[in-house]
Amino acid sequence: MGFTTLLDIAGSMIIGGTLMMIVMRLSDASTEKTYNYSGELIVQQNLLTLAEMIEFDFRKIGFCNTWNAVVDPRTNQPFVSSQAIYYADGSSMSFYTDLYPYNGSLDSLRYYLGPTSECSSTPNPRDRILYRVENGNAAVASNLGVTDFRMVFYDVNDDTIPPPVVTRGLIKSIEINITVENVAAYDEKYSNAFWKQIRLASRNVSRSKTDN
Amino acid sequence: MNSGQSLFAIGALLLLSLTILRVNNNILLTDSMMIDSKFGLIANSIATSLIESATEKYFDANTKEGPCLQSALTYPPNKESGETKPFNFDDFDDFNNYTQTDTVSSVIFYSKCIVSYINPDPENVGSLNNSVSTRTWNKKLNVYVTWRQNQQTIGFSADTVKQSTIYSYWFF
Repeated sequence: MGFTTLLDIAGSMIIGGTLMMIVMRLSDASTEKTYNYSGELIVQQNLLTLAEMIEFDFRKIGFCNTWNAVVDPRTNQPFVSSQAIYYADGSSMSFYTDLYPYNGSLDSLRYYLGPTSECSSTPNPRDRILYRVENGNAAVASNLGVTDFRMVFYDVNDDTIPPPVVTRGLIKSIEINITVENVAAYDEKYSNAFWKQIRLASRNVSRSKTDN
Repeated sequence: MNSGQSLFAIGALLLLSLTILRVNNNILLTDSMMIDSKFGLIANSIATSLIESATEKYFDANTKEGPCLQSALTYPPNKESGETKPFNFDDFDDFNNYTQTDTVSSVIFYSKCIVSYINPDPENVGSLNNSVSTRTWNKKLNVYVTWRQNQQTIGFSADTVKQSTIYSYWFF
């Protein structure tokens, strides 16, 4: 075997090896992207589910099917819809509304964000559970990868109200910020999606602006 | 290596190069679609916010104190002097031609609102989309949000999110 043949073999091995590396890199990138795209899709679907649920509930703050026959459970006085929110801070809110089947009795609803320690079994260190509690019953939740759930409250003059807000009737509109991430991701590259509801004004709460 | 083998090698490399380019192209295209989809969500939230903000206002500047005649409604829909931002708008048609920019995650979103009178006809669904040049008890707000174009082209680019709402006047 001559020197030229050896050179040919060595050259082929180098080029073959380089091509093999390229193909493997391509395969790795394709796999990573496949996982990322599925993750991104899941994140966006989760965010949309959350946004729909929150908007549906928050828009009905203060709603009651038999509005003129209801007594406020906290004051035993006739219920005033503009005072439906009885506690609010940056990541939780409690209010009165009339939940399905809209039977005219006042229900309490509470949203709050759990601690990150509850989701320590997931690879994402930031994910938390957003809880929904009806009438003080057991909290209902699923881990949709919420990493941020932040609310800002505004009064009738559109000024920010510092949390916690315990004075009833103060809040007229709410800014909602939600960030959702994957609970697990390829190579820890978590996708995220963001929802910013700059103003959500429940009809029953904001309408009181004209009454006052 | 004879010339036949060389040709095969060149052909193989060419095929590999084309495959890599195709895969890269697909990855970039899907990335772009994913980003558009993500920004579309934010654009939708901005549009919803503007609609929320508008529908909590009075129907018209002349219905603030109570009912008025149809002929007394503001025409064309427009804001009054001193009203510049949604927080000092007092009625629905102040949002006509209102524009705003929001920066979310370093991306600038341009929004534009158009308010017009409409005359809904139960037998003609299309009437909900046709603005009329007379005063009616129904106003329609169209909100356009985009993250690519400047404000002058909002509503004309394919990636503009459009949301609408109809606001009617009722007095009991």
